[in-house]
Amino acid sequence: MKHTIGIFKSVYFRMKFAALFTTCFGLFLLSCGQLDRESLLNGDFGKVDTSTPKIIAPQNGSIEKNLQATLIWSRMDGAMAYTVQVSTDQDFNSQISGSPFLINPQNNQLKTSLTLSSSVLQEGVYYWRVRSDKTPKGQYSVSSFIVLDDALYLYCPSSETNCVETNDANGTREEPYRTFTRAMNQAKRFGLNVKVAQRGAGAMYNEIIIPVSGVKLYGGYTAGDWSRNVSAYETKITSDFENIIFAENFGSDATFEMDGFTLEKTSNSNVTAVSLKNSGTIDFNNVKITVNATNSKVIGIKATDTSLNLHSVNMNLNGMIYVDGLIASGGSHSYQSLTISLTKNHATYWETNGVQIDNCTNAVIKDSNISNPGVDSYLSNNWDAFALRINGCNAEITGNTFNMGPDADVETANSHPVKVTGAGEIYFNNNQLSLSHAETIDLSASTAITMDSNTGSRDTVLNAPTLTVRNNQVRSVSVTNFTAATMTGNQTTGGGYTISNGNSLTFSSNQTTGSVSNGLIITATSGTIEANTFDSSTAGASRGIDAQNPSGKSLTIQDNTITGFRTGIYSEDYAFTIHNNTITARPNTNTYALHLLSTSGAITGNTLNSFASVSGLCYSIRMENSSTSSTTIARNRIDSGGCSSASIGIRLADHNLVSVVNNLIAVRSGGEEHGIYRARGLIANNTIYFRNTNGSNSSAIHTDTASTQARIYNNILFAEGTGPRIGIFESAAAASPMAVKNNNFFGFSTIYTDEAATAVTDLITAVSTGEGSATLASYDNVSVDNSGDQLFENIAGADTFIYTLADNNWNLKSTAPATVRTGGLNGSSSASNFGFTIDFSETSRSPLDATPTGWSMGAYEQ
Amino acid sequence: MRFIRFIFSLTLVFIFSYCGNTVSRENLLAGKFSSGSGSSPTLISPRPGAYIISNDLQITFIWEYAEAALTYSIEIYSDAQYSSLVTRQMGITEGTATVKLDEHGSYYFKLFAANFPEVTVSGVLHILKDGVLVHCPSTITSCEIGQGFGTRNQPYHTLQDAVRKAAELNIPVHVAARGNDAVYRESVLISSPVTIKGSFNSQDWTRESGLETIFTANGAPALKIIASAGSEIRDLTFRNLSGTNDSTGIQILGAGPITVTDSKLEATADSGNAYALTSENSIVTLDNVQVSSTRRGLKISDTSGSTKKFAIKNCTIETTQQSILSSLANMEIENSTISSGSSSAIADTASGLNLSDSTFTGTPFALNTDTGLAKDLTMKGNTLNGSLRIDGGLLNLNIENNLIKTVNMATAAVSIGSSSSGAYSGKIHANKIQGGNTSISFSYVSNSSLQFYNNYIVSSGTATNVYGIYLFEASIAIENNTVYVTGSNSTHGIFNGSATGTNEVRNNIISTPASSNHYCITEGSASAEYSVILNNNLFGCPVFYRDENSTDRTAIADLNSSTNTTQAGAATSSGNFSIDNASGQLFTDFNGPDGDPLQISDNDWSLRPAAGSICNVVFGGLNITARFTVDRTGTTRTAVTSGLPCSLTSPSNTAGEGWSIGAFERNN
Repeated sequence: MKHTIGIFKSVYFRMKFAALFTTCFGLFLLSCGQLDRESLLNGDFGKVDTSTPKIIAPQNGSIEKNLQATLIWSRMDGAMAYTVQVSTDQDFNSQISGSPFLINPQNNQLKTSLTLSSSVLQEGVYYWRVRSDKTPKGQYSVSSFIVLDDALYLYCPSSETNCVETNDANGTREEPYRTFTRAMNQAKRFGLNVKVAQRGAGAMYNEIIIPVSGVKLYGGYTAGDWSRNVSAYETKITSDFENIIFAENFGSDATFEMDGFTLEKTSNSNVTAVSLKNSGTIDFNNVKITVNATNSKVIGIKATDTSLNLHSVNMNLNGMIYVDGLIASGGSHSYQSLTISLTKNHATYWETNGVQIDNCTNAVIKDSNISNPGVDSYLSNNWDAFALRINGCNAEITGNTFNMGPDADVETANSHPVKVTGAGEIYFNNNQLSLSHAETIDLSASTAITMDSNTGSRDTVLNAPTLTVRNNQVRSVSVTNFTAATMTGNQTTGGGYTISNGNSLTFSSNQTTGSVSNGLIITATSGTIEANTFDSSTAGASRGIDAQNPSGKSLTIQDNTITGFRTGIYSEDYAFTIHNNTITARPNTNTYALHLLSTSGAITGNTLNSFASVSGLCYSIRMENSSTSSTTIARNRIDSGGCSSASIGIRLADHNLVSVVNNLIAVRSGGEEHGIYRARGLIANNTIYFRNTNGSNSSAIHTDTASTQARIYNNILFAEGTGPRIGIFESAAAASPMAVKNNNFFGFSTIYTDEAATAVTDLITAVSTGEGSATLASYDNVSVDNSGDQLFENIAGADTFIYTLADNNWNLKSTAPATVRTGGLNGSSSASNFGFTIDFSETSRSPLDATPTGWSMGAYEQ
Repeated sequence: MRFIRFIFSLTLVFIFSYCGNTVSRENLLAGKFSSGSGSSPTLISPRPGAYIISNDLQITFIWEYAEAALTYSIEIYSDAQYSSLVTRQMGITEGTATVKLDEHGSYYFKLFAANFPEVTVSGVLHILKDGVLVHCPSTITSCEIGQGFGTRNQPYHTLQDAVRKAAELNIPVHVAARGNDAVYRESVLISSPVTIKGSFNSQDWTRESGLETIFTANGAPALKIIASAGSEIRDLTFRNLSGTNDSTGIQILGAGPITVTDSKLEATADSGNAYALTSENSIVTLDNVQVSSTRRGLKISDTSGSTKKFAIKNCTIETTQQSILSSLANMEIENSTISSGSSSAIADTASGLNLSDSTFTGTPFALNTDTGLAKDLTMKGNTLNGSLRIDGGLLNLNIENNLIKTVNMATAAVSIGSSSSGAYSGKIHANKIQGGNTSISFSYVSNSSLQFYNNYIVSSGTATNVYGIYLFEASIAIENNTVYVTGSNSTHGIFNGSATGTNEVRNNIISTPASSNHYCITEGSASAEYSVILNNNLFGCPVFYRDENSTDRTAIADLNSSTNTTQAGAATSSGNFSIDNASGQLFTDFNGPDGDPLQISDNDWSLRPAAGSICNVVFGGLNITARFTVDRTGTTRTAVTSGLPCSLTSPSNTAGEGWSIGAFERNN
């Protein structure tokens, strides 16, 4: 086609023959049906319409937004130009810049529209008129329009008692609308927002607001110059209805936003300030809700199947019997800087909830402050009180402050500062719980909970498959039913930790302080408990770590510091590693650093202090009913004693699958002292000391009738004091150990007491005369004392106190007599096979000769 | 020559090839025969998605004419897939074109340059005529929000969508019947003024009265109007299917004026206090509305303290329980029929009522005003099949020309006041009142300005005592009434149980025929004094006056004797006499067409022309023009004291001043 036209054009301009042109061109025009030949020849190229153009848009009263307007009029036949005038007055005496506008053909097009921009338009009413060049002079089509930016205006001055729309109102600054209903419908129609000015003189808009989808309301303006300051020009709305904002069946896609308003109502009947049902997404920014209904039920916001985004919303609600801040179900919720303060006007049976959200998609609550005075005790079991209650939502709760109390009787089963259940995931971070009363903080999720850096004085209960709990400061933490949990850096005060039914627990660097009964109660959980500090200040403190009912689980407990509990670690049935912990048990009737029942595993490298100058029992390690799995007790520092009934370093359980090796054991005087009580299995290379200043039969190693498989090798056993001091004490007939070999005894009043009666001064002799080699093989024992400090580097340590194992140095001197320094059996030899090759400090033991001796006696290799 | 033929031929080629792809006239005249590179049109008006209200179905498109464009085309489709072409304009040489459509509806347009057809501006336009349209065909199981555009070919499926759009566009909503007895099931909220009209035909969108357009909602009002001014509902049916207490088909809250016209409101619950409509703090008019309910009808309340108004005109309300429960300050019922099967037609606790020309049927009360706010009660020209109970005090009454019949022998046809004192004022006059054991009772009526006159009253009961007019601690003027009481035990034309203030009995005709314990006027206790008993005609009473509830005065002279009245009788008693209706001498048609004087509706107790002794009845009454001036038919009361058209020259009784005694005036 272009090609054809191009040829024609080329030929046409070369044409020298007028007749040909006329014929061809006339034929062309006739063929197209546009102009007849006569008209063309007469210079009349078409009909000419001399009337005024018809105004298409904007029509009278229509609103043009964004400070621009496109004026449109009908095309006039024959017109070659249009003139458009735009003025701010009806008489066109105040025409805008550029007016009159002359519309001439451009690019062979004569436009029938004119777009005016913000360079010539401001907000206000404009008049415009248009004529064509064929229109008789002075005749125009006239219309007017309103120019706005992005919002229309609403203002009802306080001088008007009832806000009623006037005929003059057009939504401009000068003639604003009086009612929200009118303003919102107009805003919807023209795609605008609504700016609302303070009424002044304390007057409030009295109108129930029923949102119009897509419309945004902005309050906080002054009608003087329409500047905005939300606090200075507080724009208050009230209504004669139960609600101030009401939306129902708004539609799931509907949206509505309010910014900068105060919703205020004083009433003698029930008030739900904002009621939303099935109403899409509602946004409130900078909104205050103040309700005073002292004789009635009050709800700040109730949202059903409606998504709610709140930012800087402040509720101050006062009611009777029931006062709820925000009750929501369904939808998605995001609240930031939400402040809720609830007060009551009734002495008893009162139900309050700060925020309650059920069955929503997501609930995000950030940087908010929710205060709830709580529920009184009357009928307490039937009444609820929450600062925050979320059920069935993924929840992200961060940076908030939750306050409960100060009602004195609020600690009921249904009173919780925060309770989140039925969630997929929960993030509960950086919250402060300022709680004078209330029960636990409950978090329960089907997938995961992250609880990080919260502070508060109440108990916390967590339940989720995956848990991350770190850096929180609360009264206590309980977790349960997880497949993996990391709990680090937490600090509880006044309560400890309770962990149950879990796997892959990493529990590290946590602290417990204050008046705590149990530092950590753990059941049916496997994992690592590491580098924690459990410190109780209460005389009644029970257990630093209480591990029970393992259900086949195992634990590693290492590098922890446990003080202030009468039992450092208590365990039943667990298989575990207890390593490198420092435990100082609280003096008590029964004081145990470790109290283990039916357990198995390794107890290594620990410092176990159970000194207690009280009546009762002091055991650093008390084992009972050991399982048939092996247990190793190695390289522990033990400071026990002082108890009037019995003071024991290590009490062993009933079977022989135990190795007690390389331990430093000191037992202070107190009742009956024993370094190792009820000897079993392998007892090798320990350095055992006790002091007895009373009349009880005390011993470095005690045996009973189940000790017949006990093998006592390479130990340094020594004692001090004025009372009976027995190296090895057979507590009954047939209680002989299997072997007592290569030990060093000194300082005893009796090296060996046979059958609990016969003092044996010569161990070899005694054996030869009493037990027979088949029962007790006893030989190569020596007695080299520490006279002149010939044995140990620094037996009394820095504090000159021999029991303080932490600073003692019971290293053998290099100058110690060779009978001690190299007189021990070679435990690494195939003949002895102790099962270890290191000493207390984990230095490799180095036999001077291959067999049978060469190891140093005692805990330290030299 | 070959060259000339070539040019001519070429011209023809051009013509045939060009005319299908028109270059504008301006271009052509300007020597512009081709265009450069193309660009998409910039549409100025209308914007895609716009709603256009147009009667002439002409849509003008305005766009920026691109320099590169040769001509433009506009195509209009009826479907979003642009497969059903409605109309097309081609060869448009300017940046404007007007498309004429044949029908209103939603249309999809394409605008493009002919030489760049792949670059289009497109969108949908919604062309409305005079309403936003709703129709959810019965073939659709669930009518959802967000379906349709409110246009003829794509109407909204829900009324809720339509009322929102109508509020935005400020035009009515037209709703078509779903068809096949299907109903719209939604709870519609109206918060902005809107007019909703139903009964439209979805084919041509004309209204047909037989196309019932029904709305209901599950557990919620089918229509909820809150804070909306100026809404109108017409030709629609709203059903409440819920049995929950206070459930309703339409809930109106803080709104008005709301007009419901030519519509039906229904409640079909089997239990619970369900309503067809509830209105609170609103201004509402029901006009030609049929309300039917298996429970209650309307609940109307006003807690705002302002002057809201509920008007019922030309309506029929039929309910099993209370037809109307009102605590509104101001309610008008006009030309309507309101019937309750087992309860009150109207139970009103605020008594701001104006009832006229209507029929109320209820058991035992047609209208029961409980203790409540002090407001006016005006009743004119109504028929009450059931009792009228007025209580609460401080009421201004204007009860005129009504027919009130008890439906329960033990319940007074009219009872005013209760156990506590009430300051009633106003007038009760020209009514027909038919009671069982009591026709009308006044209890603790403390305001002496209340007037009771020109009524005619019948009672016929079986109780130990049957009363025509019963007074107890009532201060009232009883004047020019006609009272007829029968009973099988004691009967009393007027009975005063205990006196307070002034009890004035003037100009009445009182008859209690039959046995000896029938009393025309009874002083029910020692303290039940009447203030005055003047110029009454008592007949048929074996005892004209029972004094101190023990002494029977069987002679008129005893009643008129000061001796008998000084200590124990009426303070002032004179001018009374006894002329009976022997041979029908008093009344023109005492028994009415049915022959039963107790059937009050058809009786005509007009006085016969004065003759003989009845002259005293016709002219022996006191002239109390200062209190009222007409009889029960509106005939002017005339004081004729001389030239009587009978044997007397003037009334023979004491102080007779020419007024007729009884409810009817006669001057000859």
